[in-house]
Amino acid sequence: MKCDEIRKRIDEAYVPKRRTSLPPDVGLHLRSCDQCRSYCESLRTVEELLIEIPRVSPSPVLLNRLREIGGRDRVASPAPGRKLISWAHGMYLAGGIAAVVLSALPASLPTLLLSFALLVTALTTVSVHLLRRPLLGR
Amino acid sequence: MSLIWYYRNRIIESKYFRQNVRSKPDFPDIVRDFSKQVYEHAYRVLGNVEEAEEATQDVFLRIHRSLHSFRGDAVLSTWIWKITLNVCLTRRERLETMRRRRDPGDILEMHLPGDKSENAHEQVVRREQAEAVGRTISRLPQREATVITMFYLQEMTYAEISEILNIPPGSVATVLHRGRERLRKLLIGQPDEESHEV
Repeated sequence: MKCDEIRKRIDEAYVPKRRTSLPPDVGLHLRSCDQCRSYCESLRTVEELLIEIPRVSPSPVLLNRLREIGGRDRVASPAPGRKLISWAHGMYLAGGIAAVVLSALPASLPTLLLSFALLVTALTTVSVHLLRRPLLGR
Repeated sequence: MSLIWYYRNRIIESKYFRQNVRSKPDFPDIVRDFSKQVYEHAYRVLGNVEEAEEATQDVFLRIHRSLHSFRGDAVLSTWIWKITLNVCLTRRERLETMRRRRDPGDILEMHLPGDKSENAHEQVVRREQAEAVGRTISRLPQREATVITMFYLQEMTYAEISEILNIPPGSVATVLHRGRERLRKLLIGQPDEESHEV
């Protein structure tokens, strides 16, 4: 029981990576108790060995593989399955075609306005597509 | 209406894009700065080179895939560490399941001397002992192995560990103490009363 208390106090006094100064009564007990002294020593040794663990580094092969992960996307085209054009852009494109068809019909004010609106959306589609930055329907 | 949406999204995206350009580092820089730490952690927690290499690749693949969504509201290293811990946790759980099915394996026993080594031979022995301690870390429960690696090998402070693991600093100290004590018992071949949960 006494040894259990002493070990508890050793644990409490113990600060990792620092030299631990034990209370005098604990020190006194350690001088007379082999088991507690051994506990204290093994605790200190584990701490020292933890600090001395040899460091490991990734192999050059692994490092190359990791660098390749980053390099893959720079030259990559759109990933398989990725749409070249979104549904919204498709609608704009359909609008543009409709505008061309409407402009071929006999001219009237509503037809002209509709054609103009559709033409604007079609131009927007083209510019967005050229920028290759799909914004909608992603 | 669609045009309004288009310009609205465009404004939001450009703002987001500028923000990221300012705060996001290049992937090669991340590989250069973090590969050693990630690999070392994976090696110590998983306990073998092949698993550590696969885990490291997995971590950097995930980083690469999600780098565009990194908002910069957390420190980059914290974000990378969280990915690393998740990957290692998943792999360890799988390894633990496999290990349980097999023989529990040899128990590493070591004489732990109290005195520091003096001569060359003792230094070699000491180095081997340190390496054995390093290998034994992978036999500890996940959380203890993680905290010990972060504290002793990555030389993180309690505050840093507590932020990454999202636990109070006091708990970090407790887990560290528990892990070290379990490690001591494992090294001297003393049976551990507590169960070896992952």
